[in-house]
Amino acid sequence: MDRFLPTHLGRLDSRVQRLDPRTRLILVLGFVIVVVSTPPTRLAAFVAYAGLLSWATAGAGVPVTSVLWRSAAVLPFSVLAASWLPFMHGAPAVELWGGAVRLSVSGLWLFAGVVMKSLLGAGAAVLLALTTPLPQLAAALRKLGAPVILVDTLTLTYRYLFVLVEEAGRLRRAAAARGYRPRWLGQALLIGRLVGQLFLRSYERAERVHGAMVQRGYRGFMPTAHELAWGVSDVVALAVVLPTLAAVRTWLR
Amino acid sequence: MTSAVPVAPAGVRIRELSFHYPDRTRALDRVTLSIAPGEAVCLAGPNGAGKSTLLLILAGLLRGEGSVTIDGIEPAVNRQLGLVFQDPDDQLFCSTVEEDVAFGPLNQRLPAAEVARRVGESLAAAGLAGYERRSAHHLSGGEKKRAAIAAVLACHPTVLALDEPWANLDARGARAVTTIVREFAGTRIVTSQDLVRAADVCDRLVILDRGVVVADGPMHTMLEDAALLDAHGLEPGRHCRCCRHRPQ
Repeated sequence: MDRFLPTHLGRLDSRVQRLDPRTRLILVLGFVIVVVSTPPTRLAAFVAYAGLLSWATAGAGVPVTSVLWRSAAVLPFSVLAASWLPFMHGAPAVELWGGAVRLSVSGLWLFAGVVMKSLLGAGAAVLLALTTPLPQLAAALRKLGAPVILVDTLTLTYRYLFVLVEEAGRLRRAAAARGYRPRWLGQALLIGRLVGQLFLRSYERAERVHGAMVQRGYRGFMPTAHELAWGVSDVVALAVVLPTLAAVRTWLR
Repeated sequence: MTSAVPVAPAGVRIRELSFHYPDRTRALDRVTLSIAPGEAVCLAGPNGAGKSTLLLILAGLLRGEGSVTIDGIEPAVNRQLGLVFQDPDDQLFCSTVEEDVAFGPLNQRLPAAEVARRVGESLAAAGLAGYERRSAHHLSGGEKKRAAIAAVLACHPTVLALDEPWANLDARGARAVTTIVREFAGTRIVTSQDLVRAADVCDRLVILDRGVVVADGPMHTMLEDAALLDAHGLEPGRHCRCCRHRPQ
């Protein structure tokens, strides 16, 4: 769990990490919007986006492989979601196995576009997560006007994800210690019971956590001590990167 | 290890307090108890005796029938009493230790400098200076417990209530918690089955059984009453044999 969701990676004094978290967030959002809105046939633009992301990754002192393998986690989902596209469009088409399978060219481009966009978008999000500790990210979201309930839910989910995973592990070990081996379909019923048990325990914990929050004066939102301040480097980063992205989107084909 | 957190101790008065859970299970039955300002009291008793319920009522998180006052004020959600829960994971809900400790002072709308001062002071009192940026899930059990206590101390409570503070701790962690509780200058209420450790902190023992106060007296006198302890599911431990020789 910790390996997949580290607190942060990279150098804490890198140029990227010195940027205000709001700047990082805006840059990532801008990047994702530009990438998603680029037509899939503009391969040169996608190569430029990948280059820009690699440059930012290197600038943050984060190993490119760390970003790559975490981003690859979205591939099964995007491939599955887009797998129907090559079959749904008309001519021109590519025929495989003597005409047994017909794949439309425009559908294949759309499929490639979905895969490229999801990979690049996930890469940017992963880089943001690896360079921005969650308290900073939450503070940036709050300052940028994201709904309080959403930000608080995000921070609480992150905090208790580890507790839930440990709880699930304990339940699984308790079942295994009494001979549970999930080999037959019939035994899968127990998984339902374990999930139910996990839900009940989580519900009870949520009540206790809420009690602890109320006891320390919770008034419906999580207060933060993080003071954020824009600097010259933030203005420069926004003024350079966003127009560059727009230029790539407009002119590179 | 510790530095004192400034406190003006408060007295606690409980009169004819009863509490029933929604399924009509009786948790407390006409409990009457007075705790003097600065006193350290151990609430002991078997499982299901109503100890934790009593603490939740004192913290203003549950409401019972009867009267409860802390320094003459009825606890709504009491800011005077700081409750440390049995499981520190219930209490450490922020991403970092610093955020958790700052949560109470920030909710009290204190200025940023005062919040930072209280965070530093409470972490130092809990022996956790330098842990500000650590995530709660990366702490050991003992560290989590101390961080939970620091989070409560930062609110400057006049009464510190701890629910089973030594449960699931190793000897070193338990000793650290004992030191923090002992050094707290305010009123202390501790629920525990571990009478040996409780005797290091508390001067008075109140035994609850099935929601009723069955005994109340000086800790060391009551620890010698093996029959009483045994009747209410308690064990005196090694302390009882040696307490006569304890330096007073």
